[in-house]
Amino acid sequence: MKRRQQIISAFIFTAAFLSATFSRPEARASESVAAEVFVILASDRDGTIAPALARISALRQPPFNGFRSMQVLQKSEIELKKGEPVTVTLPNGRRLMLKLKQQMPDGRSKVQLSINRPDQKDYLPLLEVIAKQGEPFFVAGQKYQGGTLVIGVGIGKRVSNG
Amino acid sequence: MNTGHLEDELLQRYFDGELSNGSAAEVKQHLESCESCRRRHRSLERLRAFINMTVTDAAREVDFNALYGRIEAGVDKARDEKKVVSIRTRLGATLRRPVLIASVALAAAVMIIIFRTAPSEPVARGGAGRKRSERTVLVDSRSAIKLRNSEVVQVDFGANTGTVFEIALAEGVSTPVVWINDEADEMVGP
Repeated sequence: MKRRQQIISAFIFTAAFLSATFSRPEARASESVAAEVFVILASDRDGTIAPALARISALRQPPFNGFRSMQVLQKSEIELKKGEPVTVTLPNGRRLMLKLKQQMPDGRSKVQLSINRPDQKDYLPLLEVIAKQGEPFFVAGQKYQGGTLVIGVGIGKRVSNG
Repeated sequence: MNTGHLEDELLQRYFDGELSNGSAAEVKQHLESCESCRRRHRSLERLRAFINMTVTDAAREVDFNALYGRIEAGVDKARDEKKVVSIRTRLGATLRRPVLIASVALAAAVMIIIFRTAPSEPVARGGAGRKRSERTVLVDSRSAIKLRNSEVVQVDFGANTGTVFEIALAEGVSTPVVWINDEADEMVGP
């Protein structure tokens, strides 16, 4: 009889422990994350660098610092919910799809990205990045209007002005 | 076919410094007057810049001290294997006691509840409040150290080709760039 009581007690306390651990609000709160997509037209033609890009240090490094002009064509602030794709239409008509796959324990976000014609998978079918919050990563190289499109994707925090 | 522009091979040889002084001077003179060839020359410069950068970063990322440390740790681990087995055996025997499990679970649950109810916002200065604030900052700075850089897990360029490289932003901080080799200036209709 004493043995049975011990087992029941162990079960109850273990259940209490598991309940306390897994019902933490922060474990449920990370199912969505803010994101920002900015599209830059970088060119070798003489021009200026948009002031809004001044604080993005990556754009001051090679190979981006070789461009003579950079202008922001488009900026979209979106919310990524786990498993739900968000589409942004690029200036050249292609569509950028962004999806939150997973929030990592270290605070980074695993996101999936693709760039394609509408309803096709022909250009950049898949890119998966584990993104650090507030530090944009870049997808560049598309030719557009004599220049190069540089797409910055910032996860979690606002990374550019204007 | 002579289009009035520098041929790729000639431009590449000029870029690599392989031309004679006379030929190099001619190429240089052409570059001064031809925007198209100047742009191609700048592309070569950019390419070299980020190849250099990637190689340098790769070498910088290898932490040889940590590597040797891991090897030594592996040797130590193999040496201590017998001790570990005996510790596991004892631990297993302990965990088979229901009352002990219950006590540990209760203690852990109480600890979690205490930490959950503690304020996460920094508290006003003074008295006990200041201590809580310091604890919060300490936890934040530890998790900040744990934060790692962005990294590309996988990429499929489809019919295109491309390159993945990193830009070093500061000591230990970098961000990835996926560069698609796109030759066509294409407007895609909806």
